[in-house]
Order: sequence, then C-alpha cells, then structure tokens
Amino acid sequence: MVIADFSEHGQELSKQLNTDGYDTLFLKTDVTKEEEVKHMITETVKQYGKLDIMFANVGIANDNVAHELTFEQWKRTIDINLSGVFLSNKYAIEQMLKQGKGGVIVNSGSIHSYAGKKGVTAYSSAKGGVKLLTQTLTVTYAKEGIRVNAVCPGYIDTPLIAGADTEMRQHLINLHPLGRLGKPEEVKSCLIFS
Amino acid sequence: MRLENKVAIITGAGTGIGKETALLFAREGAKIVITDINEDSGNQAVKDIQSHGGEAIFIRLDVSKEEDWKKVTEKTIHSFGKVDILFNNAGIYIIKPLAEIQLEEWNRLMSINVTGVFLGMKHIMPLMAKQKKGSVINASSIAGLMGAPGHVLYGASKGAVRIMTKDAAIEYAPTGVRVNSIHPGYIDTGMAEYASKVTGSTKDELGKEFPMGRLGTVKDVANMVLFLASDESSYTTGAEFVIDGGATAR
Repeated sequence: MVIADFSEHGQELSKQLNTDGYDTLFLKTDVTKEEEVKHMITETVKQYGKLDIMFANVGIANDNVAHELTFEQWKRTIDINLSGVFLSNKYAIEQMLKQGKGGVIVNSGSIHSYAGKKGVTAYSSAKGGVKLLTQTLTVTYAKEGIRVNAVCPGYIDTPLIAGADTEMRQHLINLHPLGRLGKPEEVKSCLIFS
Repeated sequence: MRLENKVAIITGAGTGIGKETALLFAREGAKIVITDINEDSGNQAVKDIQSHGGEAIFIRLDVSKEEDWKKVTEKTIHSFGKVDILFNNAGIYIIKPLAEIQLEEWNRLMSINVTGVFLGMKHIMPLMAKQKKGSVINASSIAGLMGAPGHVLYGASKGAVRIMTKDAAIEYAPTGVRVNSIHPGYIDTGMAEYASKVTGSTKDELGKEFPMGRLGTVKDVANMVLFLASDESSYTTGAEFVIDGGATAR
C-alpha cells in the first residue's frame, strides 16, 4: 500500500504500519501538482509492480460564505478537492488501462455533493464536481472493468471539523437524523466494500 | 463472521436474489427466516442452508396479507427471540404499455411491491426499535430512479419503495433502526428472462445496454445487502445503493 500525503503524518503512519508487519510506502505528494501525482503512480508501480485500487481521499474544508470567500480560497479548495481528484484518477486510469485488468477507484464526495448548506460555497462546488466526474468516469471506463465510485459521508468526527466549537458541533450533530456524528471506521467499512 | 448471532427475515427467499442472500447470510453466521409464497421453493432453501450447516426455518408469507406478517413476527420471536435484519425482497415484475395496464394487475402489483414492503416495515421495525438496533433493506430497482418505456406500473411501485425507505429512515433514526434501499439493474434471474421474452432481446443483449456490458449476478446484489445488513454500515440510513453496472451514472 502506498500512503500519499502532503504532510509528514503520512510518514509516521507508514512507519507504524511497517512496524506492525504491513508493507507500505510513503510518498510525499501535493495532489495539485501534476508532476507529483504522476510520480506517485510511477513510484507505486516501481515498488509493487501494479496498481489495483486508488482512494482519492484528500480534501480540505472551507465554509466561507460567497461574499467573504476570497478568489484565492476558492481556487485552493477547487484545486485540492476537485482537480486533485481528477489528476489522481487520470494517472491511475492510465496505469490500469496499461495493465488491462480493470481496477477500482474510490473518490471522496460528501453529502455536499448533493446538498448545499450555508457557507459551503467552494467546498460543495468541488464535491458536486467530484460526483459527476465519478459518474462520467464510470460510464467511460466500465467496459474496461475499471469501477469508479464515490463515498459521500456526512459529518465525520475527524480533524476536518476539529475547529468547530461546542455549539457548532451540536449544530452538525443535529443535521443527522441518527443523532450523532459518524466515525472514521464507518467510512472505512464502506471503502473496503467498494 | 459478519452477521454472527443475528436473526434475519428475508421475503421471497425461495429463489433468485432472496435465496442467494439467504445462503450468504447463513454463511456469515445469521439465523434465517425464509419466507415465500411458494412452500416448495421456501422449504428447499431451508434444506440448502441446513445442508451447509446453517440454521433456518420456513414460514409461508403472502407479503400483501397483514395476518401473514403477524404470523411471521410471532413465529420468528418464538423461534429465535429477536429480529435484527429484514430484507424486503419479494416483488413481481410487469412490463406493459401504459394504456394496456389493467386496474386489477396495477392493484395486484402494488399490493405486493409496495404494500408488502410497508407491512414488513410496520410489523418488524417497532420490534427492532425496542431492541434499539436493526437494519432493514428494501428492494427498489433502477426503475425506481429513472424512467423506461413499459415501466409505468413497475416504476411507480419501485419509486414508492425508494421514498418510503427515506421516510421510515428519518422516522426511526432516533431509535437506532436503519433502513436503506437497493436498486439493482437487470440481474440474471427469472425477471431478466421475463424481460428478455417481453422485449425480444436476448439476455446478453440486455446486458450490453449497461455500461459494464453484462447482466448483474445474484451474488453482486447479495454482497451489497450483506454490507447494509451488517454493522459495517452503521452510519448509513435512508440511502440508495445501485447495483447496476453503471446504468444510473449516465
């Protein structure tokens, strides 16, 4: 397994997994840089000989309302959350086509791929894009045996919402009829199934 | 095992998707209540599960009859003491142009595909709520998501299942009971054979209309139902899951 991350946290995770007896490789990657994404795929193939599964998970949160959202913030959110998914999908598909045995791609959508909410201006634009990008790739590469799906979680208790104060946290919980936030492992199980 | 010690009721479990799901659930450790209107195929499914070392009972069920559902509820509790999973799978399929649909066949199909799902949820979900946990999977179809010629009747029934699922999910979310719908495309069962006969296309030709270029298998569907039945999907309710070879991505 290749763990790609912009931060060094990925390095620590990789080391931990290798200590536990797993076989992982850390590649520092900025998904907005085409050369780095290409490098991520070629290094994966160099190390393990092939690529079967790509999970395009990376994303950032932004909840600025439109009139207070700078163009820079908009571009950065779209760059990471949408263009990053495109690039990693593009080069994964290129490799999977070469292998000729199909493959599985899972992209990170969100409930904001479907529904808006005050302030999720750039975030929902990117996640809505991920949904239709996923559908388009599905139809385009289905015959080649490449399956492309998106997981669309609600609010999950992760560092992405660590900035929320108690009131905001309760507001987020109230958005979910089950009356609680999701747990990371509840997304994980869906990914394993995919 | 992914369903260890769970009790599952499956409707229409004598054949096709229902039977495959029952066999898979049993392998994953669940005790199965096989229900079907056909006693022979229902009893056969029980034998097949038992011959693989699984535990199952058969209860005859016409899903459109409330008395039958009461019996299923009582016998399930009597035999296994609880119910964790309900797969509302039973359904019938009619392809017919709008103007040729007889009111009698409209009412009959609705009584099975819609009323049957309603009655199942009505009688089983309160029991699950008492247990503070449970998972219901309702069989809709891609016909419940998109239109097609000859599908006014079937599509209306599956559209109803789709939205009933969401309504029940919201109503029961505070109780810990989850309800989701599955939306298969053409799966290689008696229904695909029927569609092939009515449309004059071979099953292969039907499969080629899907982006993945083939019909689905009962296994493709059973694995999805297993995921939704298990605790692996514990934050998922009121949602739609397609098993359609990419058809609805178009």
